[in-house]
Amino acid sequence: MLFDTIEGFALLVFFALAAVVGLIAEIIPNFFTKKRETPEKLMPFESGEDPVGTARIRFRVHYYVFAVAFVVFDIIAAFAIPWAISWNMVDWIPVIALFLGMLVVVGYYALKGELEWV
Amino acid sequence: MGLATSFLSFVEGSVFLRALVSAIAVFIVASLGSLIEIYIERKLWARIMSRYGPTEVGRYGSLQLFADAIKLVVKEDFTPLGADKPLYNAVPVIGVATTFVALMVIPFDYTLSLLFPKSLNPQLFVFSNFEPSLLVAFAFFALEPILVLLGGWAGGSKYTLVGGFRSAAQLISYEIPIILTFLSVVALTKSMNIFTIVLDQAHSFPFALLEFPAFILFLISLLAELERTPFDLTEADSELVAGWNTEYGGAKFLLVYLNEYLRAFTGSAILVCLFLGGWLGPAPIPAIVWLFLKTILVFTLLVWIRAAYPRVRIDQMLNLGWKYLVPLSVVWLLVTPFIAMAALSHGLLILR
Repeated sequence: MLFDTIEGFALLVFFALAAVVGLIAEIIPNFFTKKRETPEKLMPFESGEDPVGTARIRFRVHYYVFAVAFVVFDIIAAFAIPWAISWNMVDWIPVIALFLGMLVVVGYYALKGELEWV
Repeated sequence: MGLATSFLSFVEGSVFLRALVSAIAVFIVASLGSLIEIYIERKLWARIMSRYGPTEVGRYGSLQLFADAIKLVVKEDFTPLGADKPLYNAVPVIGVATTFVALMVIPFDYTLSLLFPKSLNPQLFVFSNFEPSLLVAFAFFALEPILVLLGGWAGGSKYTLVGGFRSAAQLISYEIPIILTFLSVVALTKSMNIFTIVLDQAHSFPFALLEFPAFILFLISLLAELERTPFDLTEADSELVAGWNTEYGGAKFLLVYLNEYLRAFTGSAILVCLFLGGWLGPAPIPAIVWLFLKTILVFTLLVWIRAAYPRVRIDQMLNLGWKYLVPLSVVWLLVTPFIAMAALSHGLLILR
């Protein structure tokens, strides 16, 4: 495990230091200012219009398509990592087949127009 | 002298204190780097656009950044009514912390300990030299889309939500080319340790020459990952205001801003270590100066690109990422072993 090693521990220390600095920066303003909250100040910023309905609106399904494409490519990139370290010792055929398969699948959907942003 | 020595031996006795010393040193370097970056960004960008940039506070406007920071820190701290309070306040802090962890694996601590050869033992004070350090750097570098989504959702405004989705789509689209291009450097050196990658460039060319297409692809993907022009689609004044961080103000905005420039610093430093020889250089000046100077120069190049190019539309950005950068980086990754074999047999690449 990473966190059992000395680097893993240092990683936690680095994270903690930056988090503490960030928290201090967020706390400091409370010593200098008084809370003067007005309804207008607390309103979400929508260019001066009064907000209508909830802010958690529906969003385009296209984002989902790209997110799925990202997951597929990411898994393939994860398989490419061990190959990249030891390409002179392992069989190339699975990696090349994986890449080619990926390019064929994505090329098919790209030609079909699914990856267009309209 | 006796006091300093005994203090140092006390620090060397504890892993926690050693890590803390390293962390504080790297934090100072990184904050200094971010400050210089922001100054370059404002001044150079202004000069390219025939403006003056900051001039009033301090000589040549050099104290303007401190004035801005103080102004932001003493502003009233409030949470908008529509926002999700814990998440809204946590996202800037977690953002800075994850970016700073990614900075840990850049050999700043090693180059700093080289400045004190007598008193600081690199064996004890260097934490960046371990095997999958490049992978760790990108693991934390790639947490940004999640934070952007969380921040955009927690902001409680329609602009922040749409801006968050748009940012996340951009960040994940360019994650793949950036992974595949750094893998081509890994294929060349057969190591995932940034240390070894830099040392392998000592006796051969910088990998920017051997791996020129990968260098260009990495630079383009890095521009998109750092959300800088021509890929700064998240900040669209007329349609999305400031994107996912529209609702952040005061000290929280300061943290978001700091995170942006820390990320730029980290990204430039990774680029320098992978392709431009890290802390190595022809002139006998300290290693930390080389590393710092190269990082700042790469950032200056990014500012120059920002000033010189118009921005792209979102469909052009996604097209470039998925239809050009991904296939090109796959092809280059598969070509790299042949380059490596040719370079090894001609003595252009000498591994440790």
